Amino acid sequence: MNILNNLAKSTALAAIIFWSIIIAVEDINLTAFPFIVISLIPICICCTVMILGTIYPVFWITSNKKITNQKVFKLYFPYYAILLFFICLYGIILSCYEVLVVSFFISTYITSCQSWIWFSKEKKA
Amino acid sequence: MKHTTLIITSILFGILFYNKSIGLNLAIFSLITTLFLVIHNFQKFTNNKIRLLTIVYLTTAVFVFIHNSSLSIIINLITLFTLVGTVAEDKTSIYIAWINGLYSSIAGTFHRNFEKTTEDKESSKINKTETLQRIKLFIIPALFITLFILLYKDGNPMFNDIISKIKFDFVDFPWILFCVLGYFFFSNIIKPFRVEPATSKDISLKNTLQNSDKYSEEILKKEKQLGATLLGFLNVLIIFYIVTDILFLLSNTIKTAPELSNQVHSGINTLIVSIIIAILVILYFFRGDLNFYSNNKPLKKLTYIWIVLNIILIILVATKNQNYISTFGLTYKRIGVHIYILLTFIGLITTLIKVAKIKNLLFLFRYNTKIAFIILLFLSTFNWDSIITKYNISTAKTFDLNYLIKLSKRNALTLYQYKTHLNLTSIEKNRIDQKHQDYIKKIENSSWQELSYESFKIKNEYSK
Repeated sequence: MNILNNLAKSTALAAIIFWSIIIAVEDINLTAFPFIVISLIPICICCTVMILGTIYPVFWITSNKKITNQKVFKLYFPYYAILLFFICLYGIILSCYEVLVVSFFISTYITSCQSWIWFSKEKKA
Repeated sequence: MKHTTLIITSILFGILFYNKSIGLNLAIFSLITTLFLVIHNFQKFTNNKIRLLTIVYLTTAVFVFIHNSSLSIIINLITLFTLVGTVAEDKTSIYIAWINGLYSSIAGTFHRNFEKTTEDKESSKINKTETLQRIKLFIIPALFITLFILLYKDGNPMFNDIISKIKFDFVDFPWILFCVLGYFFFSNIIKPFRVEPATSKDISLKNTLQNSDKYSEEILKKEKQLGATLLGFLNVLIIFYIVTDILFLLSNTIKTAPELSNQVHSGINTLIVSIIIAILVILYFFRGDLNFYSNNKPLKKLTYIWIVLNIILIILVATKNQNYISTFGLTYKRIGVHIYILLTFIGLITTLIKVAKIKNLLFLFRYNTKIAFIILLFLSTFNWDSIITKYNISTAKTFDLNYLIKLSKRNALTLYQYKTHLNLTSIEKNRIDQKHQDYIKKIENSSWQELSYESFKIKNEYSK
């Protein structure tokens, strides 16, 4: 499985979603640009933890069984998406809709779901 | 067509919900969602089950507008998931419909993206080129226009004045983000999905038990003896408990609220443990071939007696709870106890049907979930805050005024109307007046999206 490729794409996607929401809601000027660039490091760490900790193990455990990645997606993704959705929703409600937290959880949810699709569309070696 | 409806509904979503609390907007949203589902799944709406669910969903929307309570909002959302799930597959149990509905509503777009075949990929490539061309047509002229405006501004002061007057303050980016959220939701439910293999497995599983043909008469005879002995002793014990409980109820020695509260709660605890054990025992003995054993009639009779005795236990706890309510007033917890008692009663009746008609465990899950959902639906049609307030003031012997004042604003009017019937201190009167004033102020400041039936009437009265 091409983990590095998935991580790179996920980091880019997460960063775009995270900053798009913040820029749309808060007044941010050009001086914030260096922070946006630096933020790629924590975003990449979050994506790595999320993907290697929750998505990759599912594909790795099932890699020895004779089931395709598409089948793995159909079997486990619905429950993963439902669970993650409620965790993110709970986090958003707990933060009293703080923009930074809302942005974090929305990007987490979308990136994780998209990451599942990228993994599932890869062919097994 | 698909994109047009998606864009229209997402804009409406933004108009209805952005920076607004729940009220009329959720009712209108339910109507829009129904229309959207009908447009994109017209064939499915010829099914009577889906039609009935649509009517139920729209009815819950009406009750959101009338009562605007948390329960009515939650029920409206659950019914939405049920409807979406039933559109995905109409022959499943209600809990599978919930999973299908929830999954389609939150991750339908991702699933669609995953299911795209190679043919779709080719057509999407063509679409992508067209979209790219459209973007080019918009972005390149926009860039050049901006550049030339900046150049001409320096060259002509009059042109500069006119251009400076153009503001883009009307563009509200958070609102646009909200519309994107609406777009995401509606594109998720456009063609609801089935969660597999849960859906197909659920469809294939029947409610009745099958005879295995391999059972030994000897083992079944021993199992029947064990069951009959166990249920026999349990029946004797429960009869003894019920008799003492009735004597205790008739003696009516409890006078204080904590004593009665303690009685009701310990009664409920007994009931919970008793019913759980009762159902587990029944499910264990009637899990398989004992249902088809020719000599199982004594065990079945003992089971029916055990269920009936548990129902009597339920009635006793309900009586205690009702005594508690009539003496110390209604509260949400006390209503909750009554609801729990009702659900337990239904659980026992379905267990009785399971034994009598040789049904399996799935039958219990399917019917109990469905009945619990219907009961919650029914309960969401009442304004409980107002009912609690009216009952406590007019019927209960004593009640906690502080509790009534602390309830949501939906009882503000009732409390204000009834305050003349009560012997209140000036502080208590002020608190009721303050609650009423806050409620009226909130209604006056609310937009049309946030209105409920009551606030709509009040707003009309004040505008006259």
